[in-house]
Amino acid sequence: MEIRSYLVPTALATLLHIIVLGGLLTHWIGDAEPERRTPRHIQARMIDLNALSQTPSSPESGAESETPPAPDPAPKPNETQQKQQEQQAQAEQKRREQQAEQARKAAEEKARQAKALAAKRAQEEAEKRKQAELAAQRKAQEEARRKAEQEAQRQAQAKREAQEKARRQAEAKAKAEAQRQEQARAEAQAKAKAEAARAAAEKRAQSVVGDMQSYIQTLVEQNWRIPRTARNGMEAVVAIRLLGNGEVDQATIVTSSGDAAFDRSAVQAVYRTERFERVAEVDPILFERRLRSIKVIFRPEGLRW
Amino acid sequence: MVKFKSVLACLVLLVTGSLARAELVVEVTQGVAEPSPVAVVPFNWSGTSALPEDVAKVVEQDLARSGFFSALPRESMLGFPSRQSDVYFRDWRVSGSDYLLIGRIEPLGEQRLEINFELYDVLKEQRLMGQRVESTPAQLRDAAHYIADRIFEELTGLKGAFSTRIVYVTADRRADNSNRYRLMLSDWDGARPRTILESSEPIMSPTWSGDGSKLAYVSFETGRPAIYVQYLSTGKRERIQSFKGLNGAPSWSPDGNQLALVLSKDGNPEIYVLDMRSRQLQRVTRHYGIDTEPTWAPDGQSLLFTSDRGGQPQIYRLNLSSRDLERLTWEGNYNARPRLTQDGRFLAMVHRPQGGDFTIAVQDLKSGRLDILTRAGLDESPSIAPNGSIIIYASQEQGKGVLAAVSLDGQVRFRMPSPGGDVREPAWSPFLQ
Repeated sequence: MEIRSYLVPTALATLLHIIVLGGLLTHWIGDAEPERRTPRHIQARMIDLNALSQTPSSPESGAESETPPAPDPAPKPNETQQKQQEQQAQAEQKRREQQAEQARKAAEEKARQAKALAAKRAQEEAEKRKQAELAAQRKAQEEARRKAEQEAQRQAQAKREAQEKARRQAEAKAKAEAQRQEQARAEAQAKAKAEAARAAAEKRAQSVVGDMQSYIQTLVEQNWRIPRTARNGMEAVVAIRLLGNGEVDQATIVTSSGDAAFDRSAVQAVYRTERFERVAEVDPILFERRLRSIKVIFRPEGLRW
Repeated sequence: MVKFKSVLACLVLLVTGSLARAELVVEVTQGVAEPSPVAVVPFNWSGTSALPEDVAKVVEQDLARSGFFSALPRESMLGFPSRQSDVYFRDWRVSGSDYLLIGRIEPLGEQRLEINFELYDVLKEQRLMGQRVESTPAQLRDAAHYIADRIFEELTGLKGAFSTRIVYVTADRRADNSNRYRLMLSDWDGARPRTILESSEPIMSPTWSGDGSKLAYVSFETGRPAIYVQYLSTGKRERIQSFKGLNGAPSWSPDGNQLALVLSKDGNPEIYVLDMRSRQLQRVTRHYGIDTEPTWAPDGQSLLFTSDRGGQPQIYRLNLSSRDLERLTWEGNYNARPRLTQDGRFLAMVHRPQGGDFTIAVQDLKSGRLDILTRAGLDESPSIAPNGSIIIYASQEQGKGVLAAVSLDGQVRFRMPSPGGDVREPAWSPFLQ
């Protein structure tokens, strides 16, 4: 019967687990880690912009200088003419050679000039670079110096701040410590005072409780009709709950003597007492603590048997 | 939620634990040796003709005579309620009663009655029990004893013995100067006596079988003592022993299979055990002194008897299997006619202290303490109620034997009504079916 009653809940619970697990699984599978895409690298090449601007200009100038001047057309030869022509030709040759020499010289000059220009430019460039480097260097140095200064300033500031903080902390700590000590002292005093008061109250309470103990004992003994079945050595414990006015609210056997008449007589003794009047005079807190519920042990002494 | 509950449980434990530590404990060792007062209100009778018995009165007497209770006199009652709705516990509390019994009797057709009773705890203002009993006018007294038994058991935890019977012997002298002996049976309180055997020769030592169905006794009707068994339901009698000499003091074993008796067939009175099925006889004592009045211990393992082997009558215990003999009584110069309570703890006997008269005394076999319960002078033949609460015995009043009873602690003593004649040798029955 009991096992059957567990069946339905167990089945439901299992089903619920399966559903939850299923949901989680699909979630896990759908969210599989996305394919890692490798980033596209950009290949960069360093280009010297100065170099780029110079290179196209130099072949132009070279081509101009290398192109030879167009030769003059030669006169038609005969005897004189031929001689003339020869002279002319020689003159022409000479002229041409001179021209060529001039041209060569001019070309050389030009080349030399170009070379000198290039060298000058290169020199200027180098100078410029050097200047730039120097400037950069100076700038870097300046920057480093500034930075170092700033750092030093910062550090100094930090140090000052740290010192200030430490000082403030130490002050606060000292103040707190002083406060704590003061508080501890006050607390100790208060505690000692409270302890003394408590001890005094406890002493008073003890004496009140002791009084009540013998008062209750006397009343119950007056009201206990020991039954014929009672024997020396029998013992029953009755738990009593009292009301604030001392009236018996409830009395029950908590430890039986084993004899029904004895147990009954013990409970009856309490109910017959009906009310412990003097309990009403007790301070309510003490009543709650010590007298709200009490135990009475019934243990007859001096019986015949 | 579970966590919250466990925390709560811990808190409750802590609180109750600290309270329990602070709890005041009072020890009570003295009390008043008084019986509990019970108010037995007359039962309301709704019929027309008068009833032959006052049921409430019988119940009241039973309870009061037990020594456990005292009855509130009717004239002190502030009312006669017969139903719960009419009960005002304050009234009964004021009158000092611990318990209250109310009841009503109604006719239930021809010669039949219905009794309803209810028992209340006055101090706790609580109904303890209630029951409906059917009866006839002729059986009203039985019904009353039954009700008393139920109440006694409810309040004391002990089985009530008010429905038990007693037997006793009476002797009177007739006009022609001859003696008339009668074996009588009555209620435990002596009421409703009836003769179960009449003889002109002495009748002695009646004793009950363990189941209460038959009696054994000694009759001289044949001119010499013989032991008879008589069945109570049929009246049928059987003579079981008649040896030469003394045949006396029969006692049934608790299981009813054996009968201890005294025979002097071998010279002087000795104790024998007779097996009732095989009729075989076994002698258990051998002494030149007189051994008599055997009685069985409730466990059937030993016999107690009176013997003067020590010079004066004292009570001894003989273990039947080991044959160990132990003298139980040491106080006084005469201790005889032993009877044990069903728990085997208390020994009732006829006791004569040094220089005194015959009294009924009880000895606690656990502590050895002996208490004298009566003061009459010629008390004899104690017999204990099966619940051990009361001892019935024969006493002398104005030179005539009467029946009296005393509670085991000697607190309550009363005389029983006597049908006349010299009354002797009462014997209390076991619990009856």
